[in-house]
Amino acid sequence: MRTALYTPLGVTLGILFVFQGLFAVHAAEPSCQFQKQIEELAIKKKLSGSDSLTRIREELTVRKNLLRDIIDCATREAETLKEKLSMLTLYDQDTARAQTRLADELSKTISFYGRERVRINDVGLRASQDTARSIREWRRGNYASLADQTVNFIIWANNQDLMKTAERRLAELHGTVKTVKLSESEDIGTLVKKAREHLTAALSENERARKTFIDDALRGARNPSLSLASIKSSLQSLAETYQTFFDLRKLLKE
Amino acid sequence: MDLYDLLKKLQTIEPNRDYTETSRRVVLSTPRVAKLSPFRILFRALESSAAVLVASMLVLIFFGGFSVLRILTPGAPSKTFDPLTLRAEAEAIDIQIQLANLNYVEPTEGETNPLATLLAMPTTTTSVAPPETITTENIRPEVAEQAKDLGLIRDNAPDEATPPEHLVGVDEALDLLFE
Repeated sequence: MRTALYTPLGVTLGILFVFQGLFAVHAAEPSCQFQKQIEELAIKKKLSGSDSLTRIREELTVRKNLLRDIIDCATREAETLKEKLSMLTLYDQDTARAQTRLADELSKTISFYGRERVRINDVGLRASQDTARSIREWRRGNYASLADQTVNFIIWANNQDLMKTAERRLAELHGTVKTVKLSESEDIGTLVKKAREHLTAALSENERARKTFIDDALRGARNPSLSLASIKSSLQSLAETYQTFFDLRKLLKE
Repeated sequence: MDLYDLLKKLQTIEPNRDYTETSRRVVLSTPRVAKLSPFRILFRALESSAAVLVASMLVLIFFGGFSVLRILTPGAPSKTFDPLTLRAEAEAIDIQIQLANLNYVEPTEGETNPLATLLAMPTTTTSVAPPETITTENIRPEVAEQAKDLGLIRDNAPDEATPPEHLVGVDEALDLLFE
């Protein structure tokens, strides 16, 4: 009897302990804000009392440490996106291919950061500035659109369950209305039709976003603004579908 | 010595003290083998399953979002018309809309979300007030959490007191490093 009582309690506490541990690890991650180190660098640059060589050495140390922290943060950023991407469940091969393509490009970015981090060990003051410029240019010309496209893909993938739920709700609603012959009411019929139109529009834009991801993966291109426009439009129509569901519910209650 | 004396002597014989100690330890350390009857096997299987079930329910109850009463109540209203279910689904859509709006800042201006006002109302009210514009200031906490994970909004400064305009992220720090 005692075992029957203690075992579930033990298992529960064990699971909660693991969760608590995960949150603790998450909270321990360093912040990606560098204002303090930038202030420290400004102070080192302004130091006039000490001799020139010592000042340069100190400034270089601050610069190198800051660059390492920046690269670590940028790497974590790309790794988090890659992890979120890998957690998605996709049901067709074409979108899974688009997912793999994005993951590969994120891996390339992570490798680039790794190479730049190793280079820092041997750089001087001038070369440290060049490394900073090279990373900044990579981020502007490559990573920014990759991150945008990946975020869009994640949002789109997470929308799929919402689309399916809305389709199911509409089918249930249609069934209920038909069974109790409520469709004879003009208002209810109009609202059901309106909900169907909104949902059709949402599904159509959702499909357009899917095609953009697939085409981009095939052509090796990135069109984050195109995919985002379709995602937004599809979500807007989905929201209007639910607005109509609420209207219908109110009418059915009367 | 006759047989009677010999038997009398046997009464006084004692076992070797070390041997007694060792054999007692061996007997005590041997695990008791319980007899496994079909009834006992069935009982153990049921006991383990019940333990896992109770643990799962406790975890679900602890993390919320699970109402045992609701599941167990017979004749629960259809989910299609259940305002709580509809509201939960509408909220999930609202979160996705806000996330999508956070990815690019420019197109959000003037754009409206029909669910935004609706979700701010009690579940029994369904009338629609003029829709509000979504800005980064009024995002929901669950959106902020996801947006941080996706890199859509800035991580907080180490000392929470730093105003947002003074935050230096990856790109700003890189710009300052090659100036």
